[in-house]
Amino acid sequence: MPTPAVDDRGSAPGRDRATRDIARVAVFAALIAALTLVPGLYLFGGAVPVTLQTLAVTLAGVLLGPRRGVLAVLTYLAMVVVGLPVASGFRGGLGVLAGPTGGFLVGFVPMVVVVGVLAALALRRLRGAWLTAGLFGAGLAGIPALYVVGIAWLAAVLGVPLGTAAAMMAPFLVGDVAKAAVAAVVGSAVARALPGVVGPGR
Amino acid sequence: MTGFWAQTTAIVGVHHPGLSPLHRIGAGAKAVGLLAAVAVVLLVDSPWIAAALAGFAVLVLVSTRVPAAALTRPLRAVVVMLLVLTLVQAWLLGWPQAVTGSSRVLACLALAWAVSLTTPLTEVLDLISRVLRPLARVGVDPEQVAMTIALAIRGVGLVVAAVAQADEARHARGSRLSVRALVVPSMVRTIKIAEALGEGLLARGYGTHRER
Repeated sequence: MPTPAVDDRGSAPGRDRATRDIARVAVFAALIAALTLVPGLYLFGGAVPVTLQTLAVTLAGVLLGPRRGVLAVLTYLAMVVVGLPVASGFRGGLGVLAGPTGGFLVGFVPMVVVVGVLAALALRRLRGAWLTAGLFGAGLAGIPALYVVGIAWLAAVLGVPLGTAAAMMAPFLVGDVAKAAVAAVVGSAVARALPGVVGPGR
Repeated sequence: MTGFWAQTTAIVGVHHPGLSPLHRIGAGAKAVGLLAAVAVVLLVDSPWIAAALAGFAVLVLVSTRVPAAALTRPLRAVVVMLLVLTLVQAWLLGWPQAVTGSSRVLACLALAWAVSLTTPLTEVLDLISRVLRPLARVGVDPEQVAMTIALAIRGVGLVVAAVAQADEARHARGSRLSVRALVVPSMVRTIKIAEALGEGLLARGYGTHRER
């Protein structure tokens, strides 16, 4: 992980914040796992479950900011890799990453960075309905970041052209746009409910 | 907690104790072997060799002597996925390509499952701390990483309970179909869990012993 420009973790307040960050990162990694396991819609006869997973990743970006958001995603991916059945359909282990949809897990990393950076900007500058709109924009911007990695991975594993792989993923786009909208509404509501808790650098 | 949520909290590692050869190899050796095997599988172009490798990978998985019952849930999803994949590829690219593609996927999945099934969680967490040790110079604390993963594993049940409580509250109010009535309270509860966890760690002096 990149070290912050000003490293104050040696001082007591900095150390306390680092400890609180660990708690938040861990709980949001757990949130991604929990929303992945909540039964969702199943496409292609159960082969591809549509879950609230991308909602959780977008919320991690919105509510934690880019740095802690990435750490939460990496912690979730570590949970998958070490063999906990926290990937969709109660799967777990390295096989999930090696499979054709593994790119949609790895792609959470660029996704949460894009969402986190833009959402931090929106949370600093915007209020009310503009904030919701700004967070929606941030959520939408995260979708291509996820799909680029996911589709390239899918095409590489299956050996199909990129265009074909992209067409296979088209049905999911509707759901992901809807999830970005939900994340925006939830993000601005939580920012109002817990002022001083949400946002970068807090 | 209602039945709908209860199955989600039943999180256990996929590891199955046993005495097979794979169980006795160290986690590090298995991880290196898996990476090498996946690289080889992805380089193979011939459908015959790919199918043979997939068959060998399945034999490796069988050699772990893990009871079939432990594999039914993931296998059902994988079999359906492989069937769809094979048909899509056969239609788009022809049968030889379909066999190669699906065999690669099957081989990777079977080998990765074999490693996950035979390696206990604690060994994997140790392996992660060991692999990350060189990164300590650039500010990554391997112990802290292992601590975060352990907390996250514990946290899944807490977060699911928070979502289940918010869901029950939503039912009690009669607002049945509103996503907002579920997700907003769930997130507020989740953030409060994180705050409480952070306070708990600080109260127990976590982090104060470290020299940085």
